[in-house]
Amino acid sequence: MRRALYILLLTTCTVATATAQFHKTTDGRVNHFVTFSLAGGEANYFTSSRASDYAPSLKDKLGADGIFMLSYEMRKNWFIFGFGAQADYNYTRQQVGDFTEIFDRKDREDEEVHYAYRFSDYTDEQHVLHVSVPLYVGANIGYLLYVLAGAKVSIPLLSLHKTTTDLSTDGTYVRFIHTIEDAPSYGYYTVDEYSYSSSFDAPEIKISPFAEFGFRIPVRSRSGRVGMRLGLYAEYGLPLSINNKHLLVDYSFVDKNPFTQNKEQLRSSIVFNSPLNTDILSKKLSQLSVGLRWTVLINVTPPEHICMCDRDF
Amino acid sequence: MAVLLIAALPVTLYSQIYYSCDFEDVTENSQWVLNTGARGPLCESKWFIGEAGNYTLGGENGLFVSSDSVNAVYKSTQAMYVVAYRELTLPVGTYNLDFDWRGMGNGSSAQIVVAWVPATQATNSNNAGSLAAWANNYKVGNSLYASKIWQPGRATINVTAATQQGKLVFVWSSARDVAKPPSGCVDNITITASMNCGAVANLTYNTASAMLSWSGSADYYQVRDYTPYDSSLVVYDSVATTSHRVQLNSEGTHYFYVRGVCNNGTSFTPWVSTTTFVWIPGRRCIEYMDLGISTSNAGRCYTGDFDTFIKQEFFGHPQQGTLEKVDLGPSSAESMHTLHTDLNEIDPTTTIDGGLSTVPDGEIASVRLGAYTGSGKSARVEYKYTVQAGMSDLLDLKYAVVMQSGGHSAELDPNGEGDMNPTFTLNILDGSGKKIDGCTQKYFVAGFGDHNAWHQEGDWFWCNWSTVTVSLRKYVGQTITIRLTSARCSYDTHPAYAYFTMGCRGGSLEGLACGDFATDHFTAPEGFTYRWYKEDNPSVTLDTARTFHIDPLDADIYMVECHDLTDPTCYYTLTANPNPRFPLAQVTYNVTSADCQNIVDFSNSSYVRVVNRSSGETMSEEEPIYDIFYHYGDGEEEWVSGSSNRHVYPVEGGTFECYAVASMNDGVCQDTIRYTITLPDLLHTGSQDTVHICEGDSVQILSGEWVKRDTVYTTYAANKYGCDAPYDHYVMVHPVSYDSTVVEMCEGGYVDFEGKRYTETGNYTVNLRTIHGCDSVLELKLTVIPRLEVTMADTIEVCADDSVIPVPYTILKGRVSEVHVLPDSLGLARGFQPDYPFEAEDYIMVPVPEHLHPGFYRMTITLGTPDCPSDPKSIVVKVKYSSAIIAQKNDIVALLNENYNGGYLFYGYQWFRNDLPMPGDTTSYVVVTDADQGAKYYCMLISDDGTVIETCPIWYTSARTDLENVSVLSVTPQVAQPGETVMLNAGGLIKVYDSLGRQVAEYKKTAAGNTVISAPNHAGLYLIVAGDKVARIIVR
Repeated sequence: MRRALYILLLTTCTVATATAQFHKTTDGRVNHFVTFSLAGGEANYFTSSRASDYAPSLKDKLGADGIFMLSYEMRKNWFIFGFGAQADYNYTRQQVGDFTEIFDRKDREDEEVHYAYRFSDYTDEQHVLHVSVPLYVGANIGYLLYVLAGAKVSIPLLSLHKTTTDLSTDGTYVRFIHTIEDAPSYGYYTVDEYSYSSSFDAPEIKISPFAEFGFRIPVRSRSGRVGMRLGLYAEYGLPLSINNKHLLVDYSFVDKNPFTQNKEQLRSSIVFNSPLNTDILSKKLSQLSVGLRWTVLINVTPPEHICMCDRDF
Repeated sequence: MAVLLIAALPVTLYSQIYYSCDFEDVTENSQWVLNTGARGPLCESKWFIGEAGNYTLGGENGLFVSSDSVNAVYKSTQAMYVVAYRELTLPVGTYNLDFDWRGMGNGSSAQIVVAWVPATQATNSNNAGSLAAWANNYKVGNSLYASKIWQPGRATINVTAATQQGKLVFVWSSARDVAKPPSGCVDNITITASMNCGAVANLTYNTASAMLSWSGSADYYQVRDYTPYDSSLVVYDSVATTSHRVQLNSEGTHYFYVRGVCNNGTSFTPWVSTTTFVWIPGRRCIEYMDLGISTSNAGRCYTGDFDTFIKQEFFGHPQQGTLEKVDLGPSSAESMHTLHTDLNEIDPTTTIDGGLSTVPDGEIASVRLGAYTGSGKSARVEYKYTVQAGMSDLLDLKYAVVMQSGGHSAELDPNGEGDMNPTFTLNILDGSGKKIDGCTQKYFVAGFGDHNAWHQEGDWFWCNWSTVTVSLRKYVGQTITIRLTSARCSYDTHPAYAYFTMGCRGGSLEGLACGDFATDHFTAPEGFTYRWYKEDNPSVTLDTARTFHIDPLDADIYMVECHDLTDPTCYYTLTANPNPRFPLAQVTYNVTSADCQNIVDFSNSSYVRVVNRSSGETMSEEEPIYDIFYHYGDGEEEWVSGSSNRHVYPVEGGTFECYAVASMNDGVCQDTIRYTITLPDLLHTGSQDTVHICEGDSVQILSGEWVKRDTVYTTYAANKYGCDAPYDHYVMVHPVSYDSTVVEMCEGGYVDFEGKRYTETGNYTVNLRTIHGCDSVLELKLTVIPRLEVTMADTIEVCADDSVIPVPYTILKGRVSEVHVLPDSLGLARGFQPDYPFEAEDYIMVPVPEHLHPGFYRMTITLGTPDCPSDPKSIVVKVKYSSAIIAQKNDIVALLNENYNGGYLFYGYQWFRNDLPMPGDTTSYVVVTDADQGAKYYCMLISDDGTVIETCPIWYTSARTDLENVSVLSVTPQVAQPGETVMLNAGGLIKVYDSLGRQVAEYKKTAAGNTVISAPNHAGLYLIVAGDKVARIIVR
């Protein structure tokens, strides 16, 4: 969070300086634009932390963002001010390191056994759709370049996750030499793929400072009111809160006595939670997205002087 | 014992002993009246009852006359008679009075008179006076005198009515004369009726056969063997035959008496006697009685004349004379070299002073050297003698000389001429014939010398027995010649003869103590004069008595000189050492079996060890011990003095445990040596000969009889030991000889039989002829015992929790006596015992040690056989892991870990189901299904030491299905005997497995209902599986 504030401050200063410099070069009238943009890029939580040495590791494998934004921009000379609304889709795939969970149970003969769930290739895919309200300022730099900086507040509309993992179970007896595997009547099952899909608790509010830098694309139009720009953006999402109280694997619905629950029943009873909602993370996740944004601007300023010479978008 | 019969009237005499007295019964003795009258006690010689008068074998008392109340000696200073009597009453009749008596005397000078005197007649003694008339009036038998030796006496008593009550009287009558002991002695009085009893006659003794024989017709006989020399009496009672073998074991003249006994021992014939003289060579240092002319004789006899014996020697040419022995018997006057053995004999030419006894007291015989005829030759005898120390260093010559003096001189003149009286000389010569020192020469001339010594009867001079002692101590070890010569006078007319005996004794001191007793005096040998002095101070004479006294703790050594009485310049010196002395017995023996006698000659070399009182060192071991007590081991024993001793053992021989005791100081100190003598049986070594004939043949034997059976014909002849032994003539009939040899041998061996070799079982016969020419069939019964062949498995599999390891085996051939199972070193290290023995009938069941580690154990099986040896077998015992290390859960069969399986660690696994490996099941468990019910599972394991061995199997009986639903197979009985019928409540396919998981049987029965099968034939635990049903059965 603190880092996000520092970046926001830095972006704002940079934009302000750029805007101030741009203001020096142009005298201006206030133009009003409506913009819509499409952006897309890579998103990454940079999660490689773990709550403890015993906790399984959590690592991002893949992340992507897709943003559609509709905004109002006000521009005067070089200064840009805008705000709008975004629809932000984020896809993240995370992987949890192999782990085993062991429980002291009694088997079908009422013999004490160390019953183990062994997870491997544990993968979780998250799909999150945010609605965001960005607010930003920026500046046109020169004839072509621009820079924007701002922040947005995002609220998740939809968050789904799907966990797939390879799971095997076995039992270790005090009196036997090896751990008993593949004894279905005892609930010792061989490795098989298990999956679970459900919604998950994405962070309720996310503030994401962002910055964009690109170049304006001249567009020849009859009205002269359409402009485009293409820029590189970076967003750093900072969730204000996150629910990490869930267990990664929830056995609440799993019978302890395998005699009464077979494999299929296990498959249907075991619950895998999104790693983002579990305590395997040692800290809140923040996500950095970097991508390209193409923005179309439509000047909606009432004509006063239609100046054909202003080609600054 | 006394028997007394009183009869008032004349009655018929019965055969019985009317009176008997041996003076052993105190009560009877008190009936005797001794020394009767007032003067009886005053007599200088009186009657006593005591030992001196005993002549009863085993007795102690007899009636005797004595002047000192102890010994049979009497005084004869004046005429006297003393009376002893016993009152008796006898029926009228004639009786035999028998008794034993002796009494020397000299006829009327001393005699015993026996009388039967009426009781009313006074019979008082008289201490001064001749024999009373009543004694002569009532005298029975002859006067008894002139007998040194005991002899039987018999008199006849005629009892009349007037003398029925009478006195049996013995009177000793003596006159003033020389007393010649013994005095009168009487013993063994019997009075019997005079009955017919065949008299004994023709009594003879055969020295060769030691047989005493006689003629007679009595019921039986009594035989006595009396030897006066040692007063020994041997009585043989109840001799049934007219002969009797009498072994003579003592020297001297043996007087044999025989009488017949009739009428149940109540009538006796008069004693008949004969004598034989025995002397035993080897008992004397000089066998002076062994006279002859051979070099083997101890005494060689010569004759010669005056010139030969006297004159030639005078001139320095001593002559020995003619080697000749003249012996016409002791009673012949012409005998010149003869032996006198009659102890009662008086020399016929001596009459005064009681005459000269030809045999001195203490000797068994004497030699007379010289004849007492008017003229003739002179006599000489020479003895070669090797002087031995100790017993023989003093020569005692007892002699009594009788010479007729011719009135000649005692010696020749210096020219060797002149007449000379008869002489008797003793010369001792050295090995070259020269006379040794003068102390060893003795010389007697008739009528010269000490006159007190001569008894003169006209011109006859005789001197009584004297002893001259010559010391030979200086000549110990040398062989000397002892020459005795009786030479007539120079005219070879007047005779000179002498009686002599020779003996040796030790010239040692007496009084020396022995052992722990201290010596306080020394006594020198008798017959010398003496001078005592200290060894270190010879010039000072301490004493001249025969006995010298010292302090008991004195350790000084003293010396004594013993000077010859006749020539004091001749003497020898003895050493008197008072230090402690101890006897050491050393006796050896030599056996001679000859003349039907087992003779053992003992040699005594015992000696005295003198020990220094202060230092304890041995000072001397030279003094011999002569007194030896011999225990011969045949029931006889005796004291013998001398270096040699002979004892005759029974002819039957045997083994005799003997000992000899060397004694000093009359037995105060003794040492014993023991030895065992084994002697042959001389009587039963008869010879034999044998004639062999074959069965069916016949042969004529010595008796003329033809025999065809085994026969023994015995004749008697002297055997090699001189004993009359049977000579057996055997006829042996040899039947057809059949000899069977039974041989058992082991297979592979062979037997050589009569030149042929046999290797197979069978009976084999060979026909031969015996050495006697008779048929002989030899048979060989050969049994070839097969070598033990046994089969047993090479490998035995057991589970580690089994209690035993069964090792079954099958005997194909041979027999087994015992079995031993010997584990290898690995087995020993893991708890097996070194050896497990089993009897042949036992099953081999080797106990499994507790907590036995699974593995391979090699065991050696040794099979003992009573017949042929077999090689040991070697087996491997494979001990598998117990099936208890496998746990069955539903669907899981798993091995227990080391905390539950006994500590085993495994590193490799391979599961087997129904003996087939389960691919991929290479971990410690397998997951099974219901379809595997009844399947056999075991796991091959690799242990930490690399051993690869499986577990014992389990049969999977668990399933997902509740166990209660698993069917139980009912088996009856659950403990069965081999082959016993077993009933099951199942059918279909039934399999039987042993504890090692091997299928031992399979049955296909109808599916439903009860089924019967047979229990396995071998003991053990078995699993019966019928479908999904399982049960266990034990076979014993």
